[in-house]
Amino acid sequence: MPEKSEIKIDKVLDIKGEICPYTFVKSKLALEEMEDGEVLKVIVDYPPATENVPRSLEKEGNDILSVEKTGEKIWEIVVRKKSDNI
Amino acid sequence: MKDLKEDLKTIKEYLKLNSEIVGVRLAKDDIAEGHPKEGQFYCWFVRQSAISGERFNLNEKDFTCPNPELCLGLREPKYVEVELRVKEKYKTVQVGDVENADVLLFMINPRQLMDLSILLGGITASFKGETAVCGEATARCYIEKKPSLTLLCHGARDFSGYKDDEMVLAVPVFMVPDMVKRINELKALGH
Repeated sequence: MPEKSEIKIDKVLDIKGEICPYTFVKSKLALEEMEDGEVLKVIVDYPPATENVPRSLEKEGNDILSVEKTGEKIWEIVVRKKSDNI
Repeated sequence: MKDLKEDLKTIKEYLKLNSEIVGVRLAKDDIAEGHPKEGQFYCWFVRQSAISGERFNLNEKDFTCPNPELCLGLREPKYVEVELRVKEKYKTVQVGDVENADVLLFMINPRQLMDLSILLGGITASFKGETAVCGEATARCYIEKKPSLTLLCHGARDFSGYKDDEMVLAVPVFMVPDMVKRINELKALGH
């Protein structure tokens, strides 16, 4: 896995203020618009989203690259869209 | 078992409940049969069981909403603690059958909730519109061994078909005989 600083983020989805299920629903919709292998960063402020967003995306075959707390109530989830051919 | 089914019939009639009372059991075993063809939200399976009587055996792969995996003991949280979760490890959630159920779920309207609160001698409720049928109703009732009400969450209302006047009350199975006793007392008094 590349170092965090080496990961190129292709899209940022800021969904602060959203609670489940819209946290993972909006994350899935954002990934659907991206190409295989591209990287999405999801910013959330709802603690359970740090569990349900990665889990939901992982179940669809995407790679969770990191889940990191970046502020008092802010988390960033970095995910690479499933990339079977890469 | 016959007594439980008779008791639930008595409660259904008293409440004028058109839907089925849904049993939920948390099982330690992997159960191979009885899984749905497609994944859904836990609250969808509960509503489907309430309106059709269908029964489901559910494990992690059957849930398209990840919250019940955590709330009902199928998976441990990785990053943050989850407020309402059964901490003991389970492998299958059995939805529908009342036999051997731990918790009974009533899909009700406000009037039926009023009648249930009378039968139960009052309900103390706590809810905030998150992890609703899985956490606020099923998990809390399972953990605290007392009735637990949810006014549902966006997942239930926007994705699982719950109507605006529907809500879910979870009741431990062991409280059923006292509920029936209370119904009989009220009937004897002419109510």
